Amino acid sequence: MKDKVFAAYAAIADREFGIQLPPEKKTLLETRLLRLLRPGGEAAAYGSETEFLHHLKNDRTGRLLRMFAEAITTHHTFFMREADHFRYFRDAVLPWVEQVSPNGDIRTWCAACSTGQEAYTLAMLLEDYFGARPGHWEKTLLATDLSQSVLDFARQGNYLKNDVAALPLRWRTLYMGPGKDDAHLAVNADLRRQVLYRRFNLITPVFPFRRPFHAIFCRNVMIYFDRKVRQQLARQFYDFLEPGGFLFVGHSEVVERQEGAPFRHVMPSVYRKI
Amino acid sequence: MKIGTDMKIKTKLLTLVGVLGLLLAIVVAGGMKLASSIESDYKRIYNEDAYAATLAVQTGKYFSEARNELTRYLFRVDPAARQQSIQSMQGFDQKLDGIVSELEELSTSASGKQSMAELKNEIAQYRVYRQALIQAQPAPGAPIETLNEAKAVHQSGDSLSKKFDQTAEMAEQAAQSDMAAEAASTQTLMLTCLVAAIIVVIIAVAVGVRLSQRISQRIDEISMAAGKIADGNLADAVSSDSDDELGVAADNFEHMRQSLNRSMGNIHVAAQQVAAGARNISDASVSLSQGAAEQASSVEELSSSISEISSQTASNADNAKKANELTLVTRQEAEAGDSSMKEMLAAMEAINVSSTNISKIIKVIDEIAFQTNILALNAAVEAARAGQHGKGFAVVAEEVRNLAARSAKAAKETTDMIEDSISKVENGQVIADKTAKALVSIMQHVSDVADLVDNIAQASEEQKLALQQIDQGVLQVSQVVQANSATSEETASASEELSAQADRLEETVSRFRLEGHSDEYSAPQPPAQKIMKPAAPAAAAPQPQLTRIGKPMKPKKIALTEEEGFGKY
Repeated sequence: MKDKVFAAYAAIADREFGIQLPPEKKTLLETRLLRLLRPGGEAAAYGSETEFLHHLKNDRTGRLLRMFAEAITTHHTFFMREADHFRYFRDAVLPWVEQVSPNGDIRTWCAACSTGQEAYTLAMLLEDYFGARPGHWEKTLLATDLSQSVLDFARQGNYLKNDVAALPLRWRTLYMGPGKDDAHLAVNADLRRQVLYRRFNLITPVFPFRRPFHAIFCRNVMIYFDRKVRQQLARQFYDFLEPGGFLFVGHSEVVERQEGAPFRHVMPSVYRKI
Repeated sequence: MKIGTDMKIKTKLLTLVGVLGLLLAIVVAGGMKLASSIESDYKRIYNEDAYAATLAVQTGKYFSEARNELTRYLFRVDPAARQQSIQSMQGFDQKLDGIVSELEELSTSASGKQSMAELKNEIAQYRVYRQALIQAQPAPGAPIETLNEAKAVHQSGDSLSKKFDQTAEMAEQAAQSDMAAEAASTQTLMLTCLVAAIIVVIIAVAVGVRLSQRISQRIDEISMAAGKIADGNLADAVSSDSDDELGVAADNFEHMRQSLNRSMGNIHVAAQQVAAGARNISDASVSLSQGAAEQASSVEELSSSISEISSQTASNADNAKKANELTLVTRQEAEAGDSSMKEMLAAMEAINVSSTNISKIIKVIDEIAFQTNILALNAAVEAARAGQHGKGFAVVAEEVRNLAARSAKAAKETTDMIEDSISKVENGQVIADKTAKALVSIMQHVSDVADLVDNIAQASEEQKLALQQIDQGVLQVSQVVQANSATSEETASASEELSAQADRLEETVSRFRLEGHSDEYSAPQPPAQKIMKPAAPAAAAPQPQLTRIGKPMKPKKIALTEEEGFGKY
């Protein structure tokens, strides 16, 4: 791929999704586009990278942009990834939410849910904690991602038995049932209803949510953004957290201290709105 | 040693007290001396002047007595009486001389002495004249005017008498003037004494005031300096212009100030360095976390690629296995083809033999056709010979001949065809041979392919293992990245704390105005501002952010990101 073409793609990725494609990721982009453009690929009709870029630039429907988003996003995730967070969520966040939510509305946002493993884990934790609590608890969590395909996958809730093996047996029996074939297990319809999957671009300048969240999980997402976008996002998260609300980022991520988002560092990669 | 600056206060005070005591003693002594001198002066006046005046009066008196005695002498007739008068005169003269010599002794001034000398001369002159008169032996009762000597004595006596009066008068005057002078000098002296006392008092007060002012001023200066140091101003030197205790105290204050200034300066510099260091650490941790984020994204992408490759490798292995199976089938089929080919070759050989046989039969047929043609010719000849009756037979013979020709032609064509067939079969045999060889080669290659596919399958298995290793390696990298990230987080938080402490330290130190650091004094920065300095432009940010919550529903933006709405969110 010519440097000029790569730069044009990188500029689009930055502008539209905040995703950074420094020069060393040229090969990555090439292989990702190859998947899209090879015979049988979604954008096979466009033939070449240059051609696709040309159409991408002039795309008014947003279809190619979505394709491009699918291509350049990385959806690496697995059950019980960075499990410390789930333990902390169960032991510290939920008791706090129980206290501060007078009407039983628990507002959790899984800001980059990918194929749904994290969202379902959180739903299981919420169900565990509040399922047996007296009173009405509205615990539907919002799970968003930029990529439609991963959302479609997540909605199905079908996972390889091997992948699910990381979950405790109790959860597998309580919240999962037979999958589409012998190799898979599927999340129960009840639990699936506890997760609201929506497509959402995190670099939306104005978040459309009505009320702030109790907890936001945005793990291993900001690593794809540049510092400016990370800071902007941190400020937006701060604005959309209840006082005392929690922000979870990936274990290798750091929320920089800045004005407008004076997060308190609770433990590595967990921050709290003061 | 400068008086008043280098002297010790103790010494100064002692000196002051001593000097004042001395001055007082001088004044008192002066006073006493004055009193005693006045006393002695009065005594002297009394002893000398008054006495002198008395003596002067007495001189006059004795002189008059002597003159009167002279007169009596002149009038005495009796020589004895005269002699008695002369003796009496001499007695008076002696008394006069005694008094005059006493007066002479008393007169201290030069003029007094001179006048006394003159007086003595005049007395001597008078006595000379008197002696001359006495020796002239004037007649008793003779008019004096007639005697020259008597005139001279008279004149001299008058003059002298006057002189004595004058002297008495002068002595009295002198006594009086002495008294007046004494009184005046007493007054002067008393005034002087008073003035001296006043001057001493003034000096004492002035020196005392000055000294106390100086001491209190210097104490004030030192106290002010101490106050400045207490207020944190270490920039102004504590001046010391004396060697006394206060000067030493000021020196010590100055030493203390310098020492504090040095220490504070060092602390100031150290605090700045610590702050700068903390900022460096903070920056470093930011870039470290930035690096960690970059690594993390790379690791994620790597992980995702690896899982993809992993699944591809698995399917490669599967496909290789399938391909292997397929090659076995292919091999079997090729073998079957080979044997079929052999059978086909045999069949073609049989065809060849059959064709040769057919060829032979056709030769027979051709010969029969030839014979038949000859027979037909013969029959035609015979028919011609038969004439009219042979006409029908001739037609038959013609038809037979035609048939024979057609048979011959057919036999010829068949022969050609058979020959062609034979050559084609031969060609077919060549091809079949080639095909058989190709099949053998295919079989050979198929087994090669099977080996290769087997290799591929094995390689895929190995790749699977290698990928697992890579995956683990990436996991380890990811853990290291996470550890780095956590460390950078801790570092950032520690550096922030350090920065805050350094700022606090600096703030504390900046309360001190230091020599050579005067710019730091007036504008001590609150620590919070320093920490937040890099993010200063964000100060304006909270406002739009606050309004964001207020008007979150922007339909256009939602339409961009989400068509279905966010439910309760």
